[in-house]
Amino acid sequence: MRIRVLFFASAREWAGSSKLELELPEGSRVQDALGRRELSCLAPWRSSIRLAVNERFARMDSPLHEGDALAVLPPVSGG
Amino acid sequence: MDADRIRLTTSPLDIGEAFRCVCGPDAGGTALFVGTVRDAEEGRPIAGIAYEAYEGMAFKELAACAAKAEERHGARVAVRHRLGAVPAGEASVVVAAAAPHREQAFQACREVIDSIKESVPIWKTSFLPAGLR
Repeated sequence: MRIRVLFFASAREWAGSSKLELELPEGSRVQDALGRRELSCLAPWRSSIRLAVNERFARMDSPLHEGDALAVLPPVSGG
Repeated sequence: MDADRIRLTTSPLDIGEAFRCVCGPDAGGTALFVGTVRDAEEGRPIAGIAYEAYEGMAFKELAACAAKAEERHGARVAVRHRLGAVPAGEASVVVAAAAPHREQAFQACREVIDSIKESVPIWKTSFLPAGLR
C-alpha cells in the first residue's frame, strides 16, 4: 500500500522535503513506516516527534491503510 | 458547535469580534486571553514571529480544545489563531470564553489556551528586522 508522509516545521529540514510517498506492506503500522530507510532522517528526533494519521494523533502501533496521510509533528509551539 | 467559533487566519485579529462571538445576556462573565508577539526572544530583539500550521488538523484540535472546555464549564468558547508573519506587538491568538459566572469563564479560557499550547499543530519561528543577521 502507498501512504503520504508529511513533514512540518523543523521536520521539513530533517527530511529535506515537505512530503514523500512511501510503499509499505499491507498491515503496516506507524512504527513500521518510521523504520523505513526513507524516514531514517527522523531517527535522531524519534523521542520528540508526535505522529498523526489523517489529521488525528496516532501511536506507534496505529495501523496504516492505503492513501493515509502520516504527519511528522515536531514539538508544537503555537498559542 | 458553531462553525465560526474556531478560526485560523492570516489577517490581524479582532479582539472585539471574538468577544461578540460568545457573549450574550445568558453569560454573566466573559474571559478573554490575548497572546501577543513580544519584541524579544531569549533577550535578543526580534521583529516578529511567523506561524505555520498543519491546518486541517489544527482546526480539529482547536475545536476539540474548545469543546472540552465548553462541556466542562458550561461555557461558549471562540478561538482565533493567526498564521503567517505576525509583527511584534500584534496578537497571535485570542481565546474568548463566556459562561453564566466568572469562575467558569476564567477556567474555560485558561484551559483552552493551555491545551492549545500543548496539542495544536502550529509552530512558530521568529524573524529579525530586515537587514539584521
